Amino acid sequence: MRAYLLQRLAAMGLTLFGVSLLVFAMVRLIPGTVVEQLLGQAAMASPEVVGSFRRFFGLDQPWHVQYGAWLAGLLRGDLGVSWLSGRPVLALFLERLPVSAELAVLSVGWSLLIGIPLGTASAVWRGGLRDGLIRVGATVGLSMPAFWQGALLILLFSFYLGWMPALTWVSFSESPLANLAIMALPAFTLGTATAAMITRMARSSMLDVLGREYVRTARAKGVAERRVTFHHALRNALIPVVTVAGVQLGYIVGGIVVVEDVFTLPGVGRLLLDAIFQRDYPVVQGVILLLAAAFMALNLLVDLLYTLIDPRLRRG
Amino acid sequence: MDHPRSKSGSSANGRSAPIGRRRLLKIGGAALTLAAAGLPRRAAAQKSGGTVTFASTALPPSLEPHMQGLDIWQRRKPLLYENLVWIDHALEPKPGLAERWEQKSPTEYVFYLRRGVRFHSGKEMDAEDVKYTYERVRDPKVSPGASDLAYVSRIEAVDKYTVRFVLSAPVATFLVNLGGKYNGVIPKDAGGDGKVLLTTAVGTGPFALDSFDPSRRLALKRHAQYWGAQKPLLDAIVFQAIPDESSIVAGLRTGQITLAEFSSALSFQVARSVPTLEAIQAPSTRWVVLDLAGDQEPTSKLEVRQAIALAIDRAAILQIAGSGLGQRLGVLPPGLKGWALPWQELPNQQRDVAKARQLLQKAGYTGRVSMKIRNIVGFPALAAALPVIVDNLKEAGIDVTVETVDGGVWIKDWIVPQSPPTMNDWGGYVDPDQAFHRHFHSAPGGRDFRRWKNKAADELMDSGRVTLDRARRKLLYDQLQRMLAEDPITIPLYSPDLLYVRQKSLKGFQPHSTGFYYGLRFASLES
Amino acid sequence: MAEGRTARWLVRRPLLAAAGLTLAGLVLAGVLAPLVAPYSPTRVDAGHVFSRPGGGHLFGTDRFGRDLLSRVVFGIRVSLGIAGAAIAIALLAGGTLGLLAGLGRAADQALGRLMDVFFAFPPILLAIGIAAVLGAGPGTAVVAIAVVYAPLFFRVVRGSVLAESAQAYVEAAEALGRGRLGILFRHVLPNIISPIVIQTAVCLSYGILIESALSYLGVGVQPPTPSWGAILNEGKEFLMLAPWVSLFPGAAIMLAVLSLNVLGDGLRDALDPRAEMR
Repeated sequence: MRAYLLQRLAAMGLTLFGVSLLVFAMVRLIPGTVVEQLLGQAAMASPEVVGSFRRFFGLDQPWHVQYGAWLAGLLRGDLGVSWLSGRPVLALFLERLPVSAELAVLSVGWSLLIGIPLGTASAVWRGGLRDGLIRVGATVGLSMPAFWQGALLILLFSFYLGWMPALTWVSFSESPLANLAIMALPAFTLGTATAAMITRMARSSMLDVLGREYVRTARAKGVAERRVTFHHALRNALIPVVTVAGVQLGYIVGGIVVVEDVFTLPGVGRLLLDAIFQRDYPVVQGVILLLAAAFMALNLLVDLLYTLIDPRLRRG
Repeated sequence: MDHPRSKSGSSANGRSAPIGRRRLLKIGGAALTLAAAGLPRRAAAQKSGGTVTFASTALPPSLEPHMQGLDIWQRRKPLLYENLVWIDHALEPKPGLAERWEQKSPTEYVFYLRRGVRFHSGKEMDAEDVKYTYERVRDPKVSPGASDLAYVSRIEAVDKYTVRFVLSAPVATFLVNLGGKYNGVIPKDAGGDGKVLLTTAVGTGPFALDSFDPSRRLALKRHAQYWGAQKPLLDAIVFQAIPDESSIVAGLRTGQITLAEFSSALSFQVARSVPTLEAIQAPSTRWVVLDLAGDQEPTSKLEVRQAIALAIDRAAILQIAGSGLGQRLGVLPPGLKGWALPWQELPNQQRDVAKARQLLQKAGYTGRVSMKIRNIVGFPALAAALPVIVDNLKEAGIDVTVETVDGGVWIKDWIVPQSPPTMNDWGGYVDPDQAFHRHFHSAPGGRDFRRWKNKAADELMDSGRVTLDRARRKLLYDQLQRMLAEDPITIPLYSPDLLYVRQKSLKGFQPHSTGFYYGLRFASLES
Repeated sequence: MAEGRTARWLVRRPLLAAAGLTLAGLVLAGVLAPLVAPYSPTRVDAGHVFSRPGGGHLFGTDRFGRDLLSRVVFGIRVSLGIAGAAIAIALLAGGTLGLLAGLGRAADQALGRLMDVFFAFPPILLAIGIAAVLGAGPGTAVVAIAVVYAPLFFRVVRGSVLAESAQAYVEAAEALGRGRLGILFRHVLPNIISPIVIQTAVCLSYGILIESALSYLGVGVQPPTPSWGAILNEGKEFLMLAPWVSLFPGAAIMLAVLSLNVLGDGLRDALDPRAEMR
């Protein structure tokens, strides 16, 4: 087990190194730099200004020197400083993280809350009309582009129903109610596809378990169907569902970028998109590296969890 | 509703009713319901003094006073930084930090500073600060505005309250440029290594920096020691970036936003229809334009440039892209009062597709012509004009491919210069020299980034710069405007009005045609 | 499968049949767009700005008076074309690499590490990054989507190859002295077609979603070219004034993705008997 963990961590380190190279090269391949962003249209007036700005940000150095400096900082645990605000990247990230983390947790939360009962019910009603409806509903949920769903929800609530949460961000600790009002639609939007995925997973997993020996035995013994479903089957069926939820949490990171854009939330996704548009290299590099690390750590965690739950996998 | 082109009577099928007043009133109705429901109405509940929350789609990434040319910054800068002169609402230079000045000779100006002007830091402003500031702006390694002051040969601090500027030649725009956008008096040595003023601000303006979150939020507070006889009335101004204009409309409706500037005429119209709000619409010195490339096929040919000018339906563009909320223009926007020639007096302004086709043939094009037009990300007004242009040109026999690029790419190509025909947005100028010299004069004086290479125009611009007599200057620039209409290396499309919507409680905000927010200095809130 | 059986199999699955028909209809409408669309998709008509849906303009018009139905129909070409091209490239590149991973442990390790780097990015972020580097445009969208999904094909093919390599016929071929590469392409590949087909259907639907997200964020297809995402991008400015401009292209995306998902499920049932859950 320990050897396995060490091996995984080493692989993670290697992958992160690859990610750092990729993101470093990628931001520099995007045309234009922070200098033009700062100077605006006026940059053309004076190539000297452009030159002095480039030196100022170290952009005149060769790539390997710039990368070396960044990597050296990383190894010291220093992600660098934003070129525009002068603030540490880590501080900026941590400042925005609660918004995105709350969004992720809320959306996975509600998708579990709705997905598991629906999936279970669908399995119990297998083949019937209700099962059909749930399955179609889940497929529809899987097929809706999040940004479109978000836009329609905004239209429905703010225009037709006349309801509008606060425009500026309110944290949960400041005012839980105002905070949840802001978060409701984004979390619903972001969680829709996940809810659909979990419904499908719960259904197939439940069907699988319901066909197993011990469930049939329980039934044969005369245990009430309700008890069979909830006591014997559901508990076992949940294991793969939780795994799927874990994996989904990772994919939700991508969705956050889009949903934060649609609902204009000040989260990590916005920070990243803004930084890309403004060519704030340290922020883009740092945030992507942190996101990739979080993404991989989550995958590792899910794998470990799985190994713990299902001992058969430990040998492999 | 102001969609004059979409009256239902003109619809072919009779069913395609345009968005009517009723629909807009419904939006207003939603606002009333909200107000009655007692949702937060922070701004409206406050007394005189108070905080104005000013929403717009974007905020500047830095506050550097001398290095950053972005319009979103320039508009806010006069609240923090001031100059020896300021440009008043009639676009004339008026005393600012200098209480008066004397022109000792065509090339020598002496400025007498106001006494007791305090920086936000509390330090008193003196001649050394002024000298340091304009020397810094004059340094081409520091400021893109250096070319505006290139003809200043010497700046002397005569005594604590007197500064002398010596010019290398008589320059008509000296005073106007001194009040221009790149300047702003800072304390001596405050520039430091160039990093300090990116996120902090020390000026003499009516408001001081409270907090700054780049590109997202800029909070200002009243400068208690402000020199002006009339102190600023507001306690604070919070600039808030809300990228989505329909959210801004919603925020105005709920009272979360006191004042908003709109770049989209469509959103402005929705907000304007809300009964609790007031609209402010004013002519600007900005204009939307299609810039051509003088050294790239097919726009390297004069006939093609004229054909494009004739093929484009500028009235339709103003109507569709600008929702009719703007002015037509010939070469200079009507907002540049006293300088702009009316478009009716200039050639190549009215659509004439047949003549455009003839010109293309004359240029040697027998089949269809293809050209590229570049669009820059993040300018909705520019993007909105493009489909009309593409369609117009198609009719005249020109097939357009649209290439969308990020601002960075555009600026890079501009510096070379090698940009293809590009949709642009110019303005914020108060004098024709600012509008023409930098952009149309060939290097090294200007940058002629469209590669017009017009020697006759260069001479006119040179004379315009050194001619001090206003009437004679006007004649020179009339001639230049005719030249630009005859050979349209740039095709001005329309001049969008400045569009603001405010809560009724906000009083005294007067728009300035440059778009700069001078008006907030005298604004106040009533409960 | 004999024709009669196929038909009977389909009749028992009306959803699957409907999805197939919808997709075929969309593709046909896209191919015949100039015949199907009532107007030119880029024709500006200042007299009919923001017409409501119905009458002469079934889906209404946008701020330029352009017919939305025509734009959505021409959008099929762009949206499905980009997704199709991108997934084809991803399939070819990712699939080939996946097969090559079966060459040996060293190749498997090297390729696996490389793909891990791409897997560490959330798909949409990687696509946005690539689009930013290459500059907005349809070609860019194709490349971005292909790069994002190639690793997925790599993983599926590699997994199948590993499973298949343990089979007796592979060992037999090896015993006969066949080259590893030849075995992979001639013997293993035909046996792992099913998972590849299923993966392709699923990825096509992702491809459509990513294309629309890229264009919606403004880094994909550019106006006035109509792609579904690009129409939505234009429509967001006047969502409150003319909701139909956002409604129809979004519904088109959903329809296409939904059909592909149903088709993917059906293919899984048909090709992978273990997954049949009835």
